[in-house]
Amino acid sequence: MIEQRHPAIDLDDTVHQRVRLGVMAILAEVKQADFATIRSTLEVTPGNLSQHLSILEQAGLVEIDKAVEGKRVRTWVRATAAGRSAYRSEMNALRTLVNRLDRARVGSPGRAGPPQSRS
Amino acid sequence: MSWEDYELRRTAEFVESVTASTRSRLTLFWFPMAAFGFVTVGAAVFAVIGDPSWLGVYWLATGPVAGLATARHYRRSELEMGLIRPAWPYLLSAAVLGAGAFAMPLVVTPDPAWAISVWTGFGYSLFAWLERSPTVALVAGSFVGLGMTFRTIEVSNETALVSALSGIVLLVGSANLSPKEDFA
Repeated sequence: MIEQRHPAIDLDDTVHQRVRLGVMAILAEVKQADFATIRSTLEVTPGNLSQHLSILEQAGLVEIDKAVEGKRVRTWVRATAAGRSAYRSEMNALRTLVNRLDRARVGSPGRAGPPQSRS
Repeated sequence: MSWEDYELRRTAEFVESVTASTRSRLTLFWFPMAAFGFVTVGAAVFAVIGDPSWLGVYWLATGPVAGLATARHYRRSELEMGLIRPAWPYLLSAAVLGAGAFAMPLVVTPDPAWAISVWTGFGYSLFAWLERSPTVALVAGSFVGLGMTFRTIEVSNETALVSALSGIVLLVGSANLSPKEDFA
């Protein structure tokens, strides 16, 4: 019997984290995005975003540049080729898992809301 | 539903909302549609009161001005928003659209207006894909529809009529796309 590979195995912890996935979702749509724009879109603090960007940068998924524009310094973030590829893989895995959940729900209709407790 | 499944769904919804919010901010295509809409209506007026054989010169003079104004608008707006898209897909699409439109009178004679309209529709379908915009896709379809209609019917001063209708299509499309805050 062939054992089916569970799609959750394809989720990448570096990208899957909520803020980092949000960063990659923004960067997938553009060539580069400003730090302040990413921060306001994802509604996170500058410190929190910096931390997540460092993790993505260390993983080689994003590149960060600082540019002086007039009197201010702007931080631009862009996805690397590896970053775009990792984001696509992550989204494919996520879609597969959500489709699997949808099929399971059709098979056994039940409550659609959040579970009441973790226990 | 387990917590893990619930979180998974929430994550997928979150990514969708971030993607949608990023795309909605990048709705800038109303500007080139307005700019080229006015130029196209101008071409209709030129074809009526001027010499239609000089329309190529009219477009050579006005097209680059509208194109440069568009490039400036995109550059300025994207810098303000902090979201910069790659320019080359737009430049390539514009080059394909412009080159085809200028080549059409050499290929289709004596009345190339319908063919230019169909070609423009093809060009706008590239922009519709780049912008992920159903409105721009509708404009592209309207151009193809206009072109095919004028291929089958005979009217006097076809160039002026096709230009006027094309200009109106662009201006209506632009009004539908324009984010309200841009006019605030």
